[in-house]
Amino acid sequence: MTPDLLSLLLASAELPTLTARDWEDLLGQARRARLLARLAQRFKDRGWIETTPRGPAQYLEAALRAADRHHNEALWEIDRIRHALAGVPTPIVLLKGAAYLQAGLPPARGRLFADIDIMVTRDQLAAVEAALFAAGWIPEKQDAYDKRYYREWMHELPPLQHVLRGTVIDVHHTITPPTSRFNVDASSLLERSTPLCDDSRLRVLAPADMVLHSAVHLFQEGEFDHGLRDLLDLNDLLLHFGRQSSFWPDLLRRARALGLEVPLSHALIHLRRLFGTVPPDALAEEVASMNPHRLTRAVMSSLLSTALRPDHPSCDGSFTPVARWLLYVRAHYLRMPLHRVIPHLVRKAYMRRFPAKV
Amino acid sequence: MNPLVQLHWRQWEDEWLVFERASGRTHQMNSLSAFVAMSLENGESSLDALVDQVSGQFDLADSAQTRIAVLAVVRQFEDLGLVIALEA
Amino acid sequence: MIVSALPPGGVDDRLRADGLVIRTGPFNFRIDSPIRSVAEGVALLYADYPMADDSEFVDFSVTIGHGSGLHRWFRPQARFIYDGDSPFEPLPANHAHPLLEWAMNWCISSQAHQYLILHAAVIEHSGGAVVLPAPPGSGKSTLCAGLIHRGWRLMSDELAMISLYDGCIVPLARPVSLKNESIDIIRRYVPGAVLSRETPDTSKGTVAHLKVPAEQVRRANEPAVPRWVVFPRYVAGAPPRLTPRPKADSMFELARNAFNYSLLGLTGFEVLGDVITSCDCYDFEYSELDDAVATFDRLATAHP
Repeated sequence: MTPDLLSLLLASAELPTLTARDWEDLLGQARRARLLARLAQRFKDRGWIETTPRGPAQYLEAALRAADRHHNEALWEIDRIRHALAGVPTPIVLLKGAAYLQAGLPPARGRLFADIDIMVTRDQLAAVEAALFAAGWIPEKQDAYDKRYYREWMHELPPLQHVLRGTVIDVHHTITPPTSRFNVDASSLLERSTPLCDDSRLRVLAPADMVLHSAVHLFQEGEFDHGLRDLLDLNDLLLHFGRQSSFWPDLLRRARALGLEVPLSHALIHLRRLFGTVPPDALAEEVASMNPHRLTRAVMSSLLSTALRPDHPSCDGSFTPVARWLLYVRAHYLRMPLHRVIPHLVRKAYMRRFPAKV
Repeated sequence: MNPLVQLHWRQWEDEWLVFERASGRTHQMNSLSAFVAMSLENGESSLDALVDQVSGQFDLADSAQTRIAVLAVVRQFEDLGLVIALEA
Repeated sequence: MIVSALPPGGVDDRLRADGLVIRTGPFNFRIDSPIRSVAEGVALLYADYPMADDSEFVDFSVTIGHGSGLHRWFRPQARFIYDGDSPFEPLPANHAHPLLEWAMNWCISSQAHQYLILHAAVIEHSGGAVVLPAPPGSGKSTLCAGLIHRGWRLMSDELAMISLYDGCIVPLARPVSLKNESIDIIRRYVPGAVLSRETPDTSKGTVAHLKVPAEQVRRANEPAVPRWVVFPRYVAGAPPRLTPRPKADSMFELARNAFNYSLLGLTGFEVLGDVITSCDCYDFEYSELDDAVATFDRLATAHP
């Protein structure tokens, strides 16, 4: 059976006839790419669940139940966070999944939420950490190395976990680490952020900024299990915001202003390949001019293409492990200067072998 | 009461279990806590009125003891995020 | 066709090739493994289970593979592989068969959310089921293993599966896992009991699995109505004592020890609430299996 069943089903207009084995592979690929709930949501929206055989249908429905629960709990956490930070003079900008959820944006549907990501002003970081601590979110257990990684090198406080509920918050003060090649000025992001409902302290990034954050995140993170999901989210955002005529010009302008042309153009290459999403004709040339040097582009493209296929055995080409590793290193290169990359990667590999997990 | 809160009740004699839908948490309660929760759910927002109602419902003398008990329950609800702020 | 109908070596062949697909209750499992002890364990314990057709949907594909890299040969390991990934850390190679059983439980408990899944044993008599929740080490598995050889039918020794649609309990009827002293206790209590090889030094001690009587495997598609919830506690030398347990507390305890109660949200609350409403709930203290049998039989006959 052809791989990328997943890509087919997420974009195709009709449900093809599938054998039992196809269904198994499809669910497996979806699970691996963390997209089962999203797939299920698509099925539900299209009324396909009724025509799906009982066996696989049960697991689609099960995934919807899980997504529903995640949805409710994430909203609850956001409420608790807002409550905990009531006394701290900083806007609370929701990022990624939390933003999509609270702002009612398309990528929230059929999504399983893990951590809640928020951005606050840098000078209030200590106050925020203290307020969250008082409300029960304490730093996850860490050793000295990881503490340095998070506080000094990256752009985050360590993840904070709630003592009773076990939920996790990632507190940021910008969207890129200070040591990376891409350096974004947080104050302009905050200035352009838009308030949610009547509580003006709870905010989300401006549409163009949200899209750029998503693009940057995709290409800087090392975890390619989420590659396809992040591209889908990005695609959803572009289609949603793109309905306003001012959006695309603003997006390109913003990409240049923040120095994020490279991640954006890479993202657009993949969205075109996977979903046929293209910028408005009038802007096609400008987008093309953002593309990095041709040779790098070809290599990067083929690497990313391979790495972005769902990580399921039914999808593996022999190229994959190398591609994945190269991209992982590249992602870390973008986040940290080279001399710091190697020790960290070795350390991460070591820690993966011995965590106490079931 | 926190506007997000949605309570679903089960009772067996004087034992109560309540499922709060927004947080997804299930709580075990006795009749006093259950009554306080339901009053809050019905929109009660004054501590004095709450204490009055509790005294009435359970035939208690309107004493400092009752007030303390009710306050303890309300504090617990605040910690759980069920209640936001109660005016005196 | 059942597994024992395969020619000698047939189980091993299939496990090494495209996998062996077995039906356990409502689930089809595809098992594949190059490890001999897995083939032996499966051939022994799953002899009476039906195999699924090629055209049937398989709920879970479980691979028990060799350790990777050095651990293929040095301090050899076994790994559970699912969707191309390893959800658990690898274990020593001689734990391969128990690993299969734990892997199968994991698949069900982490994904089969069409059921409310409690961490409990379930046995049945005259159409009514007893749910036996208990923390590890409470003797529930020994109790379960004993009772199913004295007139009770096994539905499950670990995962109580409650249908969200009608509140009935659906059986799995998979081999019963026994630890340490239980193994000898059951050997004595059930002459002729068929047990897998013992695996020492697991995180739970010495582990072995008990084969389920063929007749009970044949009934693995018969659900039952929950009638009793009994919290067992083994107390050395104690006479049998069955005491009623408050319902709210019982429900809370069951919810705390469920695999997906939280995930199911309001539905979980309602389904479990209905189960508790329609069940008599008890605490049960005992030391002798025969006492337990007598007590449970009395329960069963009091409620026809």
